[in-house]
Amino acid sequence: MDKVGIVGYYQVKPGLDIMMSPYEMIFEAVRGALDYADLKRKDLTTVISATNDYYDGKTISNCFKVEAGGAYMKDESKVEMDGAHAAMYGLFRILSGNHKLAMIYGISTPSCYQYESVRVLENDPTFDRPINLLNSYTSGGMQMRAYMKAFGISEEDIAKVAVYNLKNAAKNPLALPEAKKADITIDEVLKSDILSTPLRELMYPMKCDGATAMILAPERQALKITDNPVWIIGVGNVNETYYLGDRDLSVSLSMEMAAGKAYEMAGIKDPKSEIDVAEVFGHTACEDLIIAEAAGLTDKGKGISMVDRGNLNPSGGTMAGYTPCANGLTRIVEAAKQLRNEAEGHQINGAKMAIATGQVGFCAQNNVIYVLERGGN
Amino acid sequence: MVFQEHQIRDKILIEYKYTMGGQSKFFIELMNNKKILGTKCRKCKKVWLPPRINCSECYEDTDWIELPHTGTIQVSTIVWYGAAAFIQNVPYGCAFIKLDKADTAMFQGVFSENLVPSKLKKGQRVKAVFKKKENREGKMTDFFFVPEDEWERWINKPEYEGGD
Repeated sequence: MDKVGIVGYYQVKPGLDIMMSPYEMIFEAVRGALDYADLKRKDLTTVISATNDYYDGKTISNCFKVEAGGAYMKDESKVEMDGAHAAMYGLFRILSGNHKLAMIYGISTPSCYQYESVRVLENDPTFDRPINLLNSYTSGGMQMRAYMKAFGISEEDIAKVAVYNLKNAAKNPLALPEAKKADITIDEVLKSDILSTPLRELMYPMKCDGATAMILAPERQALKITDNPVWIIGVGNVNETYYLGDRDLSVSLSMEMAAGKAYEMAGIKDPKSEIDVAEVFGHTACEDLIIAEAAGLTDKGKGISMVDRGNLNPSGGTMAGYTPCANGLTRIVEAAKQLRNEAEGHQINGAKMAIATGQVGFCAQNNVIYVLERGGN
Repeated sequence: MVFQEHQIRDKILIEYKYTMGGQSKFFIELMNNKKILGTKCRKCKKVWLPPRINCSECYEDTDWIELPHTGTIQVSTIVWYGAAAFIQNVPYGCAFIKLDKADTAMFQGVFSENLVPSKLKKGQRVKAVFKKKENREGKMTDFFFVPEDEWERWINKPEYEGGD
């Protein structure tokens, strides 16, 4: 694969209810990314957004966002749901040779709709939805139980991951203020409300308003824009069956396969030693481990060792604020910040190679992974 | 939801129907005969539940197969927290259940007289309980599962019955 460079990004500071219209948020993110890279709207050749029709309360949810997103009178398209998938779409457009600058953004404002209720509409309307028992809590609870059972993991172990993430969030200036918990203890997590056994409230990220934007350029163009772009050198995407009962929830087979493709493309032989830092999109503290393990960063059931090493989600991951449709893109941006030595307050020293992941669906049905390499000096 | 004066409110109510085509047999047999049908791949013989008209692995046709009403819990959870869309059900137990003879597990509610995690453990044997015929409507809500040792008591309740 030809190298594609990440040359700019911007994250709108998330909030439980930030009282901005989505159009203001998109403008701030897109304009912020352009300003960061010292580019103008006219330089963009394509704009790809990630949104969700049900979250936005309208079909073709991108059609009102064209102007705020800088896409007015330009090549424009949308991906339903996660920004990491929009980034893949943007990447393909760049690799086609037809585009020299792609703006990618993801946005949602869960302060304006009932997130957990809308997620129920993700259910298959024939088998799962009529019984109205499957939702984001139950899928998270069953996945955690399956993981604990398969690898002899305790609730304390998962609470430790939650504590780690929430403490990391305290060091991240762009974390949701309510998620910044520098003094949280394992005991507090274990005493928080049960959502769906064994999943507890503090193991489950808070949903918040947020938007993230990122700019991609082909190698030559990227080097004209910046001396130190972050290179996307591998990407993998695999989708698995919708019905969770077909799957072993203690692992992520789709991420394992996606990572295999991405590492092959990137020439990574041993991800355990070659990847310095990982920003993974987990829907719960437990799912962070499942995804990191599937991405080959540790052996199965040993994800907690990354928490001890401190190179998993230095930003706090989604536990630092879960911004639907922007989550995966934020993971890529956070990984890119690590490689550019720009992760204020949560920098991993000397990070040269990173992965970032995105996902869609209950228990991460569809996974995408990027291998990112520091460019320049 | 909490609204402020200047915020524009909206509520969308749209009716849908879902034509099940070849899969309709599952719901018709459930409603009329309390049968739980899966499908079996003609090539690899994998038994799918929920039924797939075509095998997802081989991409070949499948045939209907009647499955027993007993099975085993693969993984479960008990829900203690609700959002507007499902709060009326809280607390409730649910699980992925692999019916005997099936190769994939189906999501369904598991009712118990004593709703604690130890009653819904991995490996717990469960059996299907059905609504009475007049209340069955050919939907997944026509049945649920209970731990096998509670089955006799559940089917003796006036609103429920056992299968054949």
